[in-house]
Amino acid sequence: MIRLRGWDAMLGMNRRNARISQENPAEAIRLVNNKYATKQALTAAGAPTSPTLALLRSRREIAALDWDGLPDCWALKPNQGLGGSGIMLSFGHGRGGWRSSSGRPVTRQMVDDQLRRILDGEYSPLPSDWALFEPLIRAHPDLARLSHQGLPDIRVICVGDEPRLAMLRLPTRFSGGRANLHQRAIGAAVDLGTGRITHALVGKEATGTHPDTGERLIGAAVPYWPRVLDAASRCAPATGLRYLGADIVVDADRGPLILEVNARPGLQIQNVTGHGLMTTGTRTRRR
Amino acid sequence: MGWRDSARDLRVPVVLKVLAATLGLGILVLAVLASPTLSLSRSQHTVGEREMVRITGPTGRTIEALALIDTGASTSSLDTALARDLGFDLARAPKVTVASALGREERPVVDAAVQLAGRSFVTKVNVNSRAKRETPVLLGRQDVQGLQVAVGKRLLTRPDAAVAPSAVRILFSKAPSIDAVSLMALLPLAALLIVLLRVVVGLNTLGTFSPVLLALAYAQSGLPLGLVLTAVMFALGFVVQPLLRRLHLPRVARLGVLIGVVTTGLIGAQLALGSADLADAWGTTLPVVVTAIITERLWEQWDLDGVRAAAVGAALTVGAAILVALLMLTPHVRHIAETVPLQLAIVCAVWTAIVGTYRGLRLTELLRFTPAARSQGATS
Repeated sequence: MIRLRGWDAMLGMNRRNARISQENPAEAIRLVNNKYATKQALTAAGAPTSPTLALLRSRREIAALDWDGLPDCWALKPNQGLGGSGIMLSFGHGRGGWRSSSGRPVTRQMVDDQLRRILDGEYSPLPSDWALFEPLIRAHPDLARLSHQGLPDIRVICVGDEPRLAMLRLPTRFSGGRANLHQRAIGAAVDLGTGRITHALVGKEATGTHPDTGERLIGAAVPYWPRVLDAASRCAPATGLRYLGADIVVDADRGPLILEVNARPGLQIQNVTGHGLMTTGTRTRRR
Repeated sequence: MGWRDSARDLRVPVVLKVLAATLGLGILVLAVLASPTLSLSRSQHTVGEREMVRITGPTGRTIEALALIDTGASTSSLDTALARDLGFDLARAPKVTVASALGREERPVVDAAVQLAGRSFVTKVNVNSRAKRETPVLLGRQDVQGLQVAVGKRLLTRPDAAVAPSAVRILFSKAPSIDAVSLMALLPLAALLIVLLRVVVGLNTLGTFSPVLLALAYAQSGLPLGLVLTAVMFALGFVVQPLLRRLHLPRVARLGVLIGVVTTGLIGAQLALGSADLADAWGTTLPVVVTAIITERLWEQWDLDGVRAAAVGAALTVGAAILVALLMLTPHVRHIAETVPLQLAIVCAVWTAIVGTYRGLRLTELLRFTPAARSQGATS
């Protein structure tokens, strides 16, 4: 028998969409689709983000770019990219320029081509886009230990400035370094009160350890947890969204940084945490 | 399954929704009953311009074929290949001289037993090659006396009875069956079904309304051919996609090339099969652009979520298309679309709006969120 009490708490796609269209103003959605503007708004609200090293809006600006001013490690992103596409990373100085995470050379020519593709809007819903250089984010050792390559991040669902549910997304060998649950990255429920992992899912199966590294997940703590929650709770006032998913990473040196604010966060977090988003959140919230 | 609304939610009372829905049904029923064309369409003596007939030859073999009802011709004629299949001895048959636009021509004449709209009769038909014509059989006015021909309508009857054929029968008959006006009226109905499938059932197809366009193609060309061609298009698209990606073409150009590839596939199939009715049915109804877009989406999904997700997406899209085609070809639905197209369109729009206000869980979400609901039910 299906327990009606449990189903009552589940937020479905229909209600989520209605909620988004009612609670998230169009200008706020437009803002969070623009990474550069979002970062400025977050910084103004005192929320931590990764700084912009260079903003390129035209081919003339590419030509005028001060390449020597870039650090050895950087991330190149489209300003309005969808689903993490179009990102290029440099992990340090290498032959002919820089090197990728696997050590392969990244030449100036390759970066030039990528910049032009980004500006031509190849990774964006619009016909043209801007490109951003940011300092490379390196995962905090406590989180890097739990993950197979890639960058683990924390998804926090907030209603207004109040965090409701949180999960840690850990890339696996199968997910190819991406923290995408559809591609079988691990989704680990994080207790809002303690910042510790209570249980974890790979696909639909529960797991206690990371399938690639064998590292024990249950009980592991997210470093700087109060600061992570504080960063998440600043997203709503900064962006104007009232229902949002904040994607937060914990950098080895700089601590928690907001990577992205999502106006249409997915619903899989309900399965990961075992909590519905329809509940008022009194039970899960112990701050 | 209850769901709570936030205070800001503008709610239309359920009573009002039910009232509007039943009112729509009432309008449709009344309109059909009061329709002046009702008696005509229900008459035992009306056939469309294209009808399925059964022809029996001297050996007793019976073949069902599409016939053009042509009151401009006096006598009936039959395709040579079909006549041979039926067992007619054309070499020994008496000849008749037929005058046509191409000049005078000697044709064999045979006695065939024909069944049309529940009437059986034996008639003299001349035999010539109709391979390049739209239908293998033509019935002239001498054989349809006492029947009214409804202009622009198709497949109103079955060979053995003066009732409309079932949806499944039409779908397998390879005969274009929906005329333009009914088609317009059926589109909102198809859209309603798609909205139901997405909002209430929770099926995710490749592209929102692409199943409707595929369904139109299936309805006009027949399902077996339609499915084969869809599969060929997908396969062609798949072969070309990786190449297009390597060229780093922008999306517009990628879609443009895909349209070219799909069209090439279509023309190739026509040339290979050498059939003129394929050109007629698919050339005009196959949504080439939509097929290109579906292929593109399929590839994207494969890239993002893996082979299984992509295959499921494709299967759901084709499945939804078949469902839509069956709905549009159901006798009662066709009847409503033909008699009261305007009312049908309006009522479907209202119904779609009502379905769109559904905020509860989708049926597929009952499956998807089972683990969460179980754990929630256990802890709270």
